[in-house]
Amino acid sequence: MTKKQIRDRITTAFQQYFSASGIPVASLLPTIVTAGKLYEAYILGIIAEHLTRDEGYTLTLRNGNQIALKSSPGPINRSYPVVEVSNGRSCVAEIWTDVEFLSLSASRSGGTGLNRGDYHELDIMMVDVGQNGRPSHDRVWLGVECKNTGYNKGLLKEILGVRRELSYLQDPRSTRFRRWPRSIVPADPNSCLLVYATDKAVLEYQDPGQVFGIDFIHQDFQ
Amino acid sequence: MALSNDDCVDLVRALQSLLREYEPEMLGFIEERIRRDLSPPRYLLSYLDQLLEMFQEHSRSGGDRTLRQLNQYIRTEDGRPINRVSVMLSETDREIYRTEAVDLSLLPDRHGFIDELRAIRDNIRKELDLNERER
Repeated sequence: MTKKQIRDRITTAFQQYFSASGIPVASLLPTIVTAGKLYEAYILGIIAEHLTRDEGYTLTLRNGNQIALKSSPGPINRSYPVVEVSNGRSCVAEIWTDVEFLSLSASRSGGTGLNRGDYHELDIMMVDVGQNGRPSHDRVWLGVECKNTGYNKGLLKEILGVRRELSYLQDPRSTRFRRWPRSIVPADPNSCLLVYATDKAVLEYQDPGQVFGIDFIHQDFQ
Repeated sequence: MALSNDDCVDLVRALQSLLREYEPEMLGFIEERIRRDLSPPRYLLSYLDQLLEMFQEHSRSGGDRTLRQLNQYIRTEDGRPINRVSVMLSETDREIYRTEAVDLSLLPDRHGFIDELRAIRDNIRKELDLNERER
């Protein structure tokens, strides 16, 4: 195809779609507010698949029939829907979205936990049952970041910081999981940390993850 | 005919111009996220990838797929399926957008448009791979 053919084809696609669909020129949906959210919900479904198939858990959504994500992160609000993780006998953990945890540094400094640097967000967080507000870093079983965007060095540095605020680097020890996402992790407390991204380039960043216990996963959203 | 670096730059400009006309908000978002250290051909492909990801995520087909995945592995208290994915807005967002939540299952159906964009992107990728092999 020549440049002209490509340009004409792209222009026609835009013109046909935007005139035929009746969609207003400026979409009513605030793109920036909701960007990445559907991918986050999709990854929640992927995690649910692993926890069910690989770990044998049963997952139940409480407090409603909708997955409620947040436009900005905050503490756990127990009136929001939550996914309970059960081993068949009892609920062993809960999964929340867009919540913040109290960092290792806040715990060490004995601060109030109210300063901006005292807590950090994770897109998806699996924690001990019954947590309220911001769970402490040692209550986290699994943290997940979801990136429906180009993966870059800045995002790597961000997740390395999150790993640091969850745990110390230590000799490998057992996680709370039998197989998935991993049975051992070089971290104390023994939380697992995953990065899901639509960009294949995420796999180029996995070397530091192998040292610090972060798993980088390429997951399309097509 | 092979695509030159200048052709790729022109095509990025054409995409920017179309977005400016039809989806100005999305243009700003892509411009913020795009990697700027790429060669013109890689930049063009990356631009199209970002565009596809954004449209895909703001399309009903993406919402349907997400609900299918969730309902396959998560049950609800009353046994009925999970019926939507919402984004609850912060207090300030509520005031700005005059709504409490955005229901992502009510997105427009952009399936045909996305398929066409993907086909164009794949054609360009083939063209550029061919260029590299010829060099």
